[in-house]
Amino acid sequence: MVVTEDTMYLSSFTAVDSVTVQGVGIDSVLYNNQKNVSKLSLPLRSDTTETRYLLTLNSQPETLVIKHENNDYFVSLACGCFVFHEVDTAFGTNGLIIDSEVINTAVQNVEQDNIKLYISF
Amino acid sequence: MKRSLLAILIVLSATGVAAREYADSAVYQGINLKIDLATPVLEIARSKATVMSYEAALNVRLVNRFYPTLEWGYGQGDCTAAGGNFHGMGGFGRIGLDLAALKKSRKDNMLLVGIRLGTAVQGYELTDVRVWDTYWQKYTTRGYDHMVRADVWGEVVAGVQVKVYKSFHMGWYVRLKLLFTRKENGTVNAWYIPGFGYRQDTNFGINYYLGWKF
Repeated sequence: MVVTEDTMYLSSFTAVDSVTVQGVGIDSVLYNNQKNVSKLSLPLRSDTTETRYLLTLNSQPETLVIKHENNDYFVSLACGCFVFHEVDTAFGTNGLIIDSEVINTAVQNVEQDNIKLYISF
Repeated sequence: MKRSLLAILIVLSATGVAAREYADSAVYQGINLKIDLATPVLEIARSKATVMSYEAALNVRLVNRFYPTLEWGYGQGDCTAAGGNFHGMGGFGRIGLDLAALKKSRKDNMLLVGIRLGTAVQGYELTDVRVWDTYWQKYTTRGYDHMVRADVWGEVVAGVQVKVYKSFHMGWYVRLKLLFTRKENGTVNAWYIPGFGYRQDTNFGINYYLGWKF
């Protein structure tokens, strides 16, 4: 699992049999029908305060919405800025995610769980 | 030999009434006003004038050995880099004390060592600071306007001062500078500090002065 400075971690109680994850509005797929997944690593957007992902959990679609604040972390004139985040809320729009819990609001360049998702099939 | 000595005495006597009176004082021997010529020339050569700095100095000669010193100036910096652009300008000042290092320093030619405490206040802005979202393939920029910052540093200096003609003298200073107001990670700090140089923990400086004693 690649850890980047703007990556948010999601945890579920039990592993999901298969997961496909893709950002809304782009073609790139982060997880492509990956099996037995219990943790996701999702980069948040720095240009808006809302990040949306299309999840396919055991072949059932769900849209995950994460609302967050963005905080610039200036590095240098050569490198520009990182953006760290503060997670406010996370929820699903199709009823598959029945609840969520923000464990750590800070999304920085350290690996830690940020959100737990409660999923009902 | 006698003619040479006579010529020197005549030159010394022509340095003005005020200087002659102060020379007789055991405590106060006059004021030196100095203009730095080296920094602008070096910055033109080194940075192609994207960084420019101008400064002057005033010191008082006391008991033929101590030189309380005030230095002041103006500096500005511009930088265009891959991660953003910087523009800043502001004033700076330094106070300190020089000591004539050799006990038998001649009256108008001397080796000086000293310390300085410097501070600068500047206004600056960073524009077009890049943020790249790798996964989201979004390239955005940030701008930080009307930023104001004060910095403080210390210096150890060494230099020479020699008489050129009548009340005019010249001299060199080399400086080792240590920044006290270090960068806090993540904050949008100024890339250049007037009077100190590029933002880093230590800097070197050099001055070439032309001065006038009065």
